[in-house]
Amino acid sequence: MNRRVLLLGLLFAAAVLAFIGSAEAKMNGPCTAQIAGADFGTVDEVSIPSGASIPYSFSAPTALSSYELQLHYGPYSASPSSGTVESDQTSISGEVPMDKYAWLGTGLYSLTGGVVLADGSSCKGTINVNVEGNPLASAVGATAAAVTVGSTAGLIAMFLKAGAAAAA
Amino acid sequence: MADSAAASGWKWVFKPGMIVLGALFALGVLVLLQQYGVTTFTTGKLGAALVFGAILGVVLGSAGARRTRPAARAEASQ
Repeated sequence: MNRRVLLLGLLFAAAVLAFIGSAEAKMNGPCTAQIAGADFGTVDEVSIPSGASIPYSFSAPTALSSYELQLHYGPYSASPSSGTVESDQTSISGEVPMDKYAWLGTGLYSLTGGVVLADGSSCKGTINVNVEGNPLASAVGATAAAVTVGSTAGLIAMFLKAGAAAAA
Repeated sequence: MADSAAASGWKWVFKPGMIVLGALFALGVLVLLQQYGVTTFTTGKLGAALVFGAILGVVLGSAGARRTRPAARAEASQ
């Protein structure tokens, strides 16, 4: 069997599987966490308006030591909210300023929330945040649309050019 | 299989231009899917999209090159 064909087939199958895969929201550890009113442990996705700040809260059975929220976008990740807890607080709340990340546009984002407890244990959870709005009105969305249309036209042109050159 | 592929006029062609365009196409589609709320944009999906696009470029490049080969065109016209 042609090894190159087999390799291409395997890569294609792996790419399709990874392309369509999607993580479910989970919360590990004895804590509870909420974002925009949605529980990390039970809700997979929460919708928010574009540019809005998202209220969040963490609570644990014992005192908290530190907390962090991380927004993921491909290889890029940002920490819109993090800090340490000085007193014996067992809960903490605040707001994620999503307007700072408006340049990313609309759509679905993976948000990871984690807390470290005073006894050294930790909790971590992930939830998908759907930022509502018009994708083509953002720089990222408009650029993606232009790249998709341009590359499609380029692929068709290169495909047809080869045939036309042979026919000449 | 390689013999049957050659007999049918098919030959794998790796054109850098087609591979880059295929990867750009898949990247654009992935970002659009993310922007429309269909899927998240993760590092794994970025890699998968680039691999998917590169394979698409190879397949389209090979199909385009097949049209240029006289033997393949003659066989197709029969």
